[in-house]
Amino acid sequence: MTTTIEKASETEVNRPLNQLRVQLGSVLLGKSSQIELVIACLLAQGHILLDDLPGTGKTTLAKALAECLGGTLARIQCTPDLLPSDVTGFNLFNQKSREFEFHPGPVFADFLLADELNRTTPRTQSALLEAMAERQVTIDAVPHKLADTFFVIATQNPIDSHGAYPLSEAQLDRFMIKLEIGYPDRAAQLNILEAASRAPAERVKPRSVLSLADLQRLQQHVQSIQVHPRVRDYLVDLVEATRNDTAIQLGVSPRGMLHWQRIAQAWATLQGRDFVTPSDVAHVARPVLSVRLLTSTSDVDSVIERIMNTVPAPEYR
Amino acid sequence: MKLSQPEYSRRSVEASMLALVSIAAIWALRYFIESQSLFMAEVVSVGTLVLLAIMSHKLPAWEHRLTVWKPVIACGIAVIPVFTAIIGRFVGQPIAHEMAALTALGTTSLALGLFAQTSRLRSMSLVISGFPMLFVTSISDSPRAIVLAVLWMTVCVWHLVANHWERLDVCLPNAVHRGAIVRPLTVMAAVVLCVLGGVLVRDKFGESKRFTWGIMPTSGGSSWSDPAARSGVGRGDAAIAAKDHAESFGAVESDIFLEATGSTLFDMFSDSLGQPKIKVKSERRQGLAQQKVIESHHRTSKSEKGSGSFSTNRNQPLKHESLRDATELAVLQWSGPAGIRLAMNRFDTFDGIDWRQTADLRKESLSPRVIDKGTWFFDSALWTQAMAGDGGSVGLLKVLKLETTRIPSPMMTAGLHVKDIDRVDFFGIEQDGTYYMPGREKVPPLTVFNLASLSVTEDELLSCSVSASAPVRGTDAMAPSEPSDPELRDVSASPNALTPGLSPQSNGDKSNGDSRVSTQTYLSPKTNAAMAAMVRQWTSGLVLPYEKLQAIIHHLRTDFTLDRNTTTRSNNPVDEFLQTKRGGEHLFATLAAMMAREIGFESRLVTGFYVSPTAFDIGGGHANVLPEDVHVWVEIKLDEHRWFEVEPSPGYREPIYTPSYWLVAKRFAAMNWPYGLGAIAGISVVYLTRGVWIEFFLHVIWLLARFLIPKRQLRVAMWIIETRAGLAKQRRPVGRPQRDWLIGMTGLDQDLRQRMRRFCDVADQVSFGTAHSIPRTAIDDVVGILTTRTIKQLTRGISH
Repeated sequence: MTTTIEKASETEVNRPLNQLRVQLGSVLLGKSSQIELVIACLLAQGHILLDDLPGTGKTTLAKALAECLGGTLARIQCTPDLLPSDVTGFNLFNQKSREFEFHPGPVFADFLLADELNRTTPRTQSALLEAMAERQVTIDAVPHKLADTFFVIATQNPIDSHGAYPLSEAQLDRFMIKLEIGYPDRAAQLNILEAASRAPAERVKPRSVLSLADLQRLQQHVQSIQVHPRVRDYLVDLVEATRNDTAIQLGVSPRGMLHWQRIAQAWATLQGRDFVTPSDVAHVARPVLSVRLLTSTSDVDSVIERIMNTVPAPEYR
Repeated sequence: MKLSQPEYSRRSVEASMLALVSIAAIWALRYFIESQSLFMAEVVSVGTLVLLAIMSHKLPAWEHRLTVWKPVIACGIAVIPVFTAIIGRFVGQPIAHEMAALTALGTTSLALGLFAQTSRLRSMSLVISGFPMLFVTSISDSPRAIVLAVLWMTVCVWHLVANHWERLDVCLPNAVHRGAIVRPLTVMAAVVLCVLGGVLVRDKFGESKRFTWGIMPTSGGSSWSDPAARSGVGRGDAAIAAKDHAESFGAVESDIFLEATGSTLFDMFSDSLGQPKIKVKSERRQGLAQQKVIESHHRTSKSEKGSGSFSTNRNQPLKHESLRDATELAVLQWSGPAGIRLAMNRFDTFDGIDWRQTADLRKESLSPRVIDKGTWFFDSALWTQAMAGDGGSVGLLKVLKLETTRIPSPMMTAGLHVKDIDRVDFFGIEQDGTYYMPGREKVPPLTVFNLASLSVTEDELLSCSVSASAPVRGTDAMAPSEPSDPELRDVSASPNALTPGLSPQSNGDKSNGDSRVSTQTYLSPKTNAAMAAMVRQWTSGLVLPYEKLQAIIHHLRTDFTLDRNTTTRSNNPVDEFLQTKRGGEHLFATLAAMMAREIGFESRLVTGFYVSPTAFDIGGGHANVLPEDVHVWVEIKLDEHRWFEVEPSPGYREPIYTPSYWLVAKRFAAMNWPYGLGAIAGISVVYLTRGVWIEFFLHVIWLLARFLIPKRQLRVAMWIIETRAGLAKQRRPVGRPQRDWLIGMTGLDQDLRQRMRRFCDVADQVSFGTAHSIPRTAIDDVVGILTTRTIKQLTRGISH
């Protein structure tokens, strides 16, 4: 954005990001590639949907993220009886002051962990729409601004589909990426066991490495990452391919396309570059597409792979 | 032994190939001079042992079984030529010592090449195979021997470079000075040197010639010198013509019909062959000099109609001194192919002196067909063939002053058409098969005939078979159709053959003379035997009747001299002609017809006009046929209704029978098969070693890319790498970004991965970032490392 940031990018951008990686890596063991994507999503001002089994460290990740950035974390456990006002907050008539008082809900935290989002009703799910897309909530016709760095980590349980309300397309499109953390490998599991048996004092505690203001600056830097016209062409080609594919019922929306470009920029930043390569676009393709493609077959991955293999990537020249 | 095992394939194959080339060179020398059975036995036994040797290497199942026998096989291959030589001596078909020794050297080197375990022994195989190669090439007298030598040298250079310059090729990528370009470059340089040397001494290639029996050429000179000098006395038609016919540049002699008695049409128009000798005293008709009485022409016209006989016994032609004797009026005009013959009279029976027609081919009417509103009259026998056959041509004939009812027509004329004429009774076929206009005195002058004639392919002629005893056309008229046994014919001939003077006059009574004359033979036994011997000599080794006929015609046209001024001295013109080899075209035609009968064809003599290729009048669009174009030739029977012509007289153009494309292709293949084989071998060698050549060309392209701007260089580099990956069957999916693909290809090689990443960073910066230039060294590094072989090895590592 400004020349100072670009020139000082080596230190100003990479050092805090590296520290963030290290910190998160020490908490969520053996998942460096997922951590990388989470950071990218954070830098790209997106929200993340974790599609995973219970006990794979979703909450741990969210907590660590909040601690590293010195922000507040709110957690809502989504149940069928959760109401929209439980999420956004509500106006309460104060008998003493004889006026309505606003009681902010969990969305006013810096980080919001919405656990098992698909178990609450669509009504409550929709309460998050405005917050996620526009970073504000409107309660009784009064808009309330949320923090610029507002970040939602939602989880959904894939097995437990009984009694669940699948997320609507509109809801899904608000998420930037979908991730599966998955079970750690054997070595990581041994490390987890070993770390858990330490005395509480010796346990690694994530420390704040980045202020929210720093994060905001980094997010602005990400916006300024250069995208070559040929890479833009490539993105549009890919997006159009998803719309024209017979196996896909709902392709990528323009919002999805914007998300894709932004996270590709964030990914390039994480690789220490100030421009986006086709390789960056391809790297983030799977998490970006898996959240928003509605396919006629259950095997989304193979559809994504086919598209990524057939749309010609721009070559060196 | 363990160590050298993986090297087995290539080195051993190359050494064995060199040995095989040298053995092939020796065998090519021996094949033509030795006993075939013994030779083949040697080839087969060596081949069998070599096959066993190959199987012992290649097939695991056999390897175990044959291990014990390996030394035996090796020794066997080496000593087989010695055994063959001993057996050859024993059975009385000796092989030359030096040949046996050379072959033994070759097989020894083959055995070494197949079984050697150390490179020292393999080098020995190389040297041993090199000696016979050198020796054989130097003693061989075939210009093609050089090809084997060049082949041997090429493989040898290849082998040496491979062994001694690229030994470390597959070691650590960084530690090796790369040689991908050295090997093909050296081979190419060697080939270019060979070719250049060959071009320099190309004059000498054809120099060594096989000695043949007969007279040594004494005139010297080479193929560049005057052909006349090279062929010695040879034909010399031109020289003889210039000597004997000095006056031929003078006045044109065409004073005609002066002293004709019983003359034929041929006699009427050609006085250059003289007049038939008058055997029986008869009333002479006296023609008048042309310039004096043109009107008398009409009065003598009766004598212009040909009679039923044609004599080969002739007087000296008359000389005409005055220039004013010349008449330049064309008899007829012909628009159509030039150099052809227009037949007017045909004769199928020869009595030793005279030709006559005995078979009756007369057809009173022709079958009319309307084509494009014009009425054509077809010979019904040829009509079907005219419809079925694809070929054929229509010529235009304009009759000017022909004093006969016969219509001159090319061979195999199937039909004719005159504008606006649709009357069937206007045309017919004469007794001898010639078209004519019945009931007239002569063909009306200035009539234009459209003559449709069939064409015949050479293939048909080649497939034409002869029937030794079939009588011509169902009658017993055609006696000369072959009694195959010359003795028999001689016996049957003897009573009458020497009876001369069966002149047309004496045989005027047709019903009486017909059967007698036609069943009698035509030549004296002596003449017959001489002719038969000549035919046998000319046609020895030939199988197809048409080939024999061609040989006869060729010999007649080259060995005999056309001289119209010869006079028949004896009463046996053909015999005389056989001895002097000099005579007019009537003798050529007669002898050719007789010889054709000798090999089983049915033949007939034809007189008519020759459309000289030089007589074409460009302004008029037609050829003028003059009185002196009168000519005699021969027709040979092809099938029931078709006769094709042959031209035995030198100086006249031979009829053209177009071969089909299939026949042309077969002949071409038969002539050029060694080159074809060589080309196939060359192409397959190039194909088998294609990897090396493609790599070489990619290298060259990369070297040339130096002159492009850096971004273009990057593009070329990526194209080269992707082509190589394609060769290694590791093609990049189009959707895969090149960066991911390149890094993914490096597999587990950390060092390579780092270098590739550095390269991709620079390339990304140039392609999608802000940088504008990329240093060539950065690209050079990647292009140098990622050869096809490296890619194969890297990806093999991944897949395992």
